[in-house]
Amino acid sequence: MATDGDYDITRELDLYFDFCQLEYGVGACPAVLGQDSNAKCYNTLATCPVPDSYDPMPKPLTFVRPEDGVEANKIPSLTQLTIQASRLAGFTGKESPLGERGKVTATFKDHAWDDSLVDKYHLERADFTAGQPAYEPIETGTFWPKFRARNQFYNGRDLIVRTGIGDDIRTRKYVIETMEGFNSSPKVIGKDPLKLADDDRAQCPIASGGQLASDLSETDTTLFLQPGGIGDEEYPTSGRASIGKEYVSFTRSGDQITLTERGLNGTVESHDANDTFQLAKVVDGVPPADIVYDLLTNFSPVPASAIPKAEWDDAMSIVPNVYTADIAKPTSVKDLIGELAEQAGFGIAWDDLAQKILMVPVQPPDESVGTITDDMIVADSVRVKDAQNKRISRVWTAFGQIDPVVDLDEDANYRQVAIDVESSAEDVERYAQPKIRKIFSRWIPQFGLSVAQDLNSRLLARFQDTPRDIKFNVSRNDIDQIKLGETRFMRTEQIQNRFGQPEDIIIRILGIEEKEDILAVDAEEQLYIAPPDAATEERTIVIGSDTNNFNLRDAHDNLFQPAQAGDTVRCIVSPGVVVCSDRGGSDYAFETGSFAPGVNLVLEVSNNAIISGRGGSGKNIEIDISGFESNFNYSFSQLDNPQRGSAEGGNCIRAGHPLTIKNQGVIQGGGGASSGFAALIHGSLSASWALGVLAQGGAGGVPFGEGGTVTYNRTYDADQWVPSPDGNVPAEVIINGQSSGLNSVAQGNQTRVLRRTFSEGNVWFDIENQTLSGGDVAERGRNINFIRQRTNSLTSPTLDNITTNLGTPGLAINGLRNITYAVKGTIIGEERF
Amino acid sequence: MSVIIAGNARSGQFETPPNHARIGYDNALRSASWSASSAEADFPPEALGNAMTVRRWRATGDTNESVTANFSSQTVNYVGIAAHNLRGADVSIEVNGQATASFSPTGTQAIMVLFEARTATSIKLTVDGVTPEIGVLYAGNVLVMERPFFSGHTPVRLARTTVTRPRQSESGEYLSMTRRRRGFETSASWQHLSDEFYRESFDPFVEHATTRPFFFAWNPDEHPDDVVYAWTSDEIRPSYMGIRDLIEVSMSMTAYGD
Repeated sequence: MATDGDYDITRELDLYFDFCQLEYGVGACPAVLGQDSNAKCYNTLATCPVPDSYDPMPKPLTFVRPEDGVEANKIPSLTQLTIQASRLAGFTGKESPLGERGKVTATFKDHAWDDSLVDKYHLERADFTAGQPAYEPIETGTFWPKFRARNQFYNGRDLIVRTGIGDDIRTRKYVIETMEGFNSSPKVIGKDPLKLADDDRAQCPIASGGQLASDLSETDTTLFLQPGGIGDEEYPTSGRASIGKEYVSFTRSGDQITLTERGLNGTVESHDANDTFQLAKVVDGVPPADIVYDLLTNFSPVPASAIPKAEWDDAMSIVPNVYTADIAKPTSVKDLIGELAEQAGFGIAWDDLAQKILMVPVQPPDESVGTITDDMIVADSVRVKDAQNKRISRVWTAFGQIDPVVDLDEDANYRQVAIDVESSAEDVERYAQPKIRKIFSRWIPQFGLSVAQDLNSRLLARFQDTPRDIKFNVSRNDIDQIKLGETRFMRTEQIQNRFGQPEDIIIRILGIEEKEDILAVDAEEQLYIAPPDAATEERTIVIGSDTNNFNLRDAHDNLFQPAQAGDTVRCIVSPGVVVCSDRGGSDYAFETGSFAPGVNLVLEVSNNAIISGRGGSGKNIEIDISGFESNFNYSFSQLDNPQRGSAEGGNCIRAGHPLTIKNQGVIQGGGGASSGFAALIHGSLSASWALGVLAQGGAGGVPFGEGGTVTYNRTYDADQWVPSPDGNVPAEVIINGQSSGLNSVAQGNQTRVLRRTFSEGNVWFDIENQTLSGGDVAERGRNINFIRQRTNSLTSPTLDNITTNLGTPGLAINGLRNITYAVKGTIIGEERF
Repeated sequence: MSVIIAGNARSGQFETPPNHARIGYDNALRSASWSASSAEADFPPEALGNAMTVRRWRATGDTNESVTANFSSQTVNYVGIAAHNLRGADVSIEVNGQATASFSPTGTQAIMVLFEARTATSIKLTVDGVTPEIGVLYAGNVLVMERPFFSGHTPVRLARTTVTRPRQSESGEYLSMTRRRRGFETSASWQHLSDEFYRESFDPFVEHATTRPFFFAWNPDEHPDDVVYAWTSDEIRPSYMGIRDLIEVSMSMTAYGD
């Protein structure tokens, strides 16, 4: 810190450029004068005749203002040094997501130069006789035009600024963005390293180079990538990807991709050869600091050394949520971080003084840090402005993104919208008009209603009244007393209450700009509301739309940091919502999953909400008589429904962890499916065969049990082998079973087949069966009712048939030992201990 | 003392009274070849051959470190040293191998060593007691002004150009005082210069001063500390005084701020 005796201003900067460490034509440098080049290089890539041997090392050139005094090898050509400090983004989404980039503009006076420091061979130039004419550097050209001709690769190199008073010199770090005005008023412009995360330099996921080697149909599950070898180069062994508008999951071996699930976003379509197989970025329940670190270090050129990750983790520990997203297509890292910053409530900025990227949550003022008062504020420097553009009266947060492939801002692409309104602010006596902030969140997943509502609440609390933007100056001597991103109390005569007294306000420091002897401070009034305290607040998970196979632990981990003993996790099933198992049989509609001992789980089932095992699905039947014509072969089989599982009713709740239930809706096991039936009868006639087939799928259980389907494969001429039926009764009947609805029971059917041939006497067969309705909720499925099976005068008659399995009901509760009923309500089905 | 009058200088250039200004602009060392007892990387002895103060020769030791310039034969009667750290060192100068001056600078301001003119091809500077770092070394034929001047002149070492800025708080507390710029700026005026002197002796300096700095000692006899390494950005234009063919001329100059 400067003392009374130290008052000289210092402003100087180092520009780092790459210079080859080698000596022309010596050692590792194979260049030969007169052969590779007519003059020695300038040890830069642009002038290197043997670039394969180029061996660069960053080297600083130091520039100072002439009036700041001159030291050896510091070039006194700096005429102006403007430092525009980086600025923390506000919390309204109206500003650049990463705040404003810090910018340094160094303006120079061009001048003659002996090329020392920038040309290793400058003392030899006057003596060169071969090739280019000899020249005396200080009398030939000027510094900057020559420099540009020799150094065109400067982007991203370090730009170090030193400013200060007396011995208190502070160093700031930026990267070179561009140069201009070489022949008149040379300028070097530097930006802070977060500039490297700009749209045109940082995208997540990285654009994939793999393409489909051939067409892909809607049902194909295997594809190959091209060009050869791209699989190992760019893709993990498993993950998610987009192909056109379709979103898939996959596993990979070499260039071969196996699609483990197609149409994750509800779209399945065919694709052409050469379509891009774009790897997606999947973020699954990750804290904000980890997400931002990953985005910056793996998807942008921002160096990891600029990120104090441990400090981030510490600062962000007050944010209890984790976030989840599928990023299907290359998206600006800046936008992704900006969205997350707004939704998780933090700011990010380059602290040029500390030379690190700050991650600062919206937080209460630190009581231990002093108030900023008029003793500290430079006279006549306070400026206050109502920031009308920041006021908000309504917040809509759409969350639970359905399809990550389509644009973020499509309303229909979200499962839910949390809407919060501060209607009093819209009263005609107050602001008289609504101000709406609409947030489309890819980061808040399904079941995150409480997180979305918390976001809305915090935004409204901060901005329902117009905050004030405040600018003021403090002495540069106070450089250690005020820091970017911190929240402070402020009291000044320039901001008064209604009684004319200085008003104590809370401000957030968004920017600090050093202007020689002062610090220009840019702040925002902070009307603060704390985020939920992870240690004391309940964590609420809301099932707001119909869903299947809900796992409370998985949903919790997509929204919150790990729960500890004493935490309460409350799951609310909203009115009218149905939570169902995905399949019959062993699936559960609702599972607690595993939590740490001592975590309190509460399940609230709202009025008209239902948690239910899925009804069993009737067995599918496959009949193949394609070989019958040649050798009388045929086959029957019964199979589980591939999507919905067995005929057994699905289960409702499995409590693997103590769970308190407050049930005002219905908790029920799924009903079993009823049996189906298939029969084939055949026999010899004098000149031909008689054949009849009857197949009936079983009915599905309640709810949503699907009817059994019949796959019937025959290839022979139906007219020959199954002549026209006698009367109105067919000889071949195939009927799929009926599916049940949420509350409606699937009905059975009664069907008959008959074959009668009068030309060969009264030869006939006659079969009639009745399938019965599927099991209602928590009921067993029903067996088939055989009405008749008769044959007459067929030679060697054969009757073969199968009756498919019926299903037992699913459990209402599994793990009753862990259940405490606060309100038991309606529970249908077995409660197993 | 920043003007060192060595040996028998008074019998040569000081036939003109030593209270007349001396201007050292002629520089035989611009095209000299250089050698040094030692030099740090990026601080070669060749740095002394240009006018830049930031380019410097820096030796690696502090005992009898020397730098030698060899140049085409010409008359030499002064050596100028600027942008140096020789305070407290024992400095000696040899011209053509002949010991010419020895002195110990008391500060870091510019130095002019004046001595009897001789034809020379080498200058050797030896420093003992500090690790020498020197930005500018001139040697050549010094310009001796035909007339002295006093009236209205601000001695350059007293002509500081300092810009300061005080700050106070909203509540009236003193916060800081900062110095934003410092250096030396002054002007010199001569009257009653003969037309012959101006055209033959002063005008070559004017031509030099449009592109290069120079050493300026206002009054070596009475104010030997008023020596600067200076430059001018203004055109130097004479005018006839209306008295016979006598000329008056003035020039402003900005000096290296040590």
